[in-house]
Amino acid sequence: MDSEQQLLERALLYDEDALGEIYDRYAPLIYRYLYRRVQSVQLAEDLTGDVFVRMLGALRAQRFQLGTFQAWLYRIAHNLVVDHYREKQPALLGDLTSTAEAENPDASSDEMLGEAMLSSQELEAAMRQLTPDQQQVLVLRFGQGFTARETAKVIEKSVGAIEALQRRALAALRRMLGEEVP
Amino acid sequence: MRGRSFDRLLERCLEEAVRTGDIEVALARYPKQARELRPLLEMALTVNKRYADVPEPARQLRVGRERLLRVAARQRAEMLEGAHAQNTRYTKKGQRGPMLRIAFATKLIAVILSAVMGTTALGGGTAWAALESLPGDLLYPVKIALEDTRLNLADSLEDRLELALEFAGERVEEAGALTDEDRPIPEATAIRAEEQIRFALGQAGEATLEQAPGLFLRIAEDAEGQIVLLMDIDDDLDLDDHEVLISMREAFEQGRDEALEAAGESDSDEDQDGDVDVDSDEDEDQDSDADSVSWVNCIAWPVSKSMR
Repeated sequence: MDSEQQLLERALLYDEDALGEIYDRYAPLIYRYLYRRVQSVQLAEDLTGDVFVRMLGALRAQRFQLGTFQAWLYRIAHNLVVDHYREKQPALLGDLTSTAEAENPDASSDEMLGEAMLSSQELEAAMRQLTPDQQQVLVLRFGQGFTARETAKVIEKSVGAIEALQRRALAALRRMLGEEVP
Repeated sequence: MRGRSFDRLLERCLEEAVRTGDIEVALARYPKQARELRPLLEMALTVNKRYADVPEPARQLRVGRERLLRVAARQRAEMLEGAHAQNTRYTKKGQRGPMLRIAFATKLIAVILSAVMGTTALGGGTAWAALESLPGDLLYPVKIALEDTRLNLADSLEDRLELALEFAGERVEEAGALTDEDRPIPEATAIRAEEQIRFALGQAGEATLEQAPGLFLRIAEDAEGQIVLLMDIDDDLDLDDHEVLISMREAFEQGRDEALEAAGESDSDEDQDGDVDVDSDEDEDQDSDADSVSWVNCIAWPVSKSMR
């Protein structure tokens, strides 16, 4: 199996085998991440495909550094989730933003834009009220099993910032769900 | 308690709680903070459970894979078309065209061209035809694109510096090979060599105080070697080629002198009486300009887009 560097060098040449290997290696991880963010198999599959098409363009522009490739893919995935909801359900964003800002002192209106998925389940609904950064931290930490340091690399923040984000996210969920939290 | 120390404490407890699925052990360790920690840990376990169940993708992600390869094939075809046009224009206009102005995208086009043209040298360690190419050859842009790629993938400034020196040396070899084949030396070869020397100096300028003198001396030593090689190139050339060689030699001389001066300055900054061998014919001239160059200045040196 080629190293990441060899794979990327070959992918830069549009080598089909290399691109296929990159996809096979990372797509299942990205799909699981996306599913946890959007809670829809079909949407997660579609967005997974989008991540790798966007990767192609970014590879050509060489907007990545070796050693951060996987983290970079997660960043693409996160941005796609935000973009998806920004484009598909703008009307819904206003309500969610105001609610989320009320619940989250560290949430900015810009950060709120990724939230739109309605769910009948309260936990699901509450998680949607978190800022995109908070959602991303929770998914990476408790879904993908990343350490705080690995999460920091993906989100490009300090470990301290990640730990603060996860504490605020958990506290916000707790506040929103109140006594119903087991 | 809502500061950094609490966040650290929560993180330690979370790691253990998620790993074991049990929060009581962690809470028992921190009885004073247990009241604050418990609801957060419980919430984390709830979130953890919520994320545990991920259904298999309905289409096994095949559609996305096929789409990726389809888009790649289309882009490859488009680039191939563009590369062909670019190469035709380049060879018609002669070897003295402004190669450095060709955007990276165009270089990459040529990379693709090479892959499609049957240099499918991607596996098995086969020697790249492109690496043997000279300015003016169809595959030369491939060689430059690969150099850019290698620089981009290098993950330390020492590696980037060594690569830049290697590529600058490659320009000297190209000049020699072109002369041997009685082919003109493009001005772009000298410009590119100068860019690569300056890039190397820029990398050394970004190094730590401890590293910088050694790196500058490395550049000076390498530049000196290239100057000797350039002087060995047959000077029975036409005027234009001669000027390009002189220009290239001046670039290496300037790089060497600036590197030596920067090495000396950064050494003296640390009060280290290093035995820097400032063996330059232009020492006296350089002394008068001593204030104008320092290794710190190297940080701010512009580096061409093609070198990033």
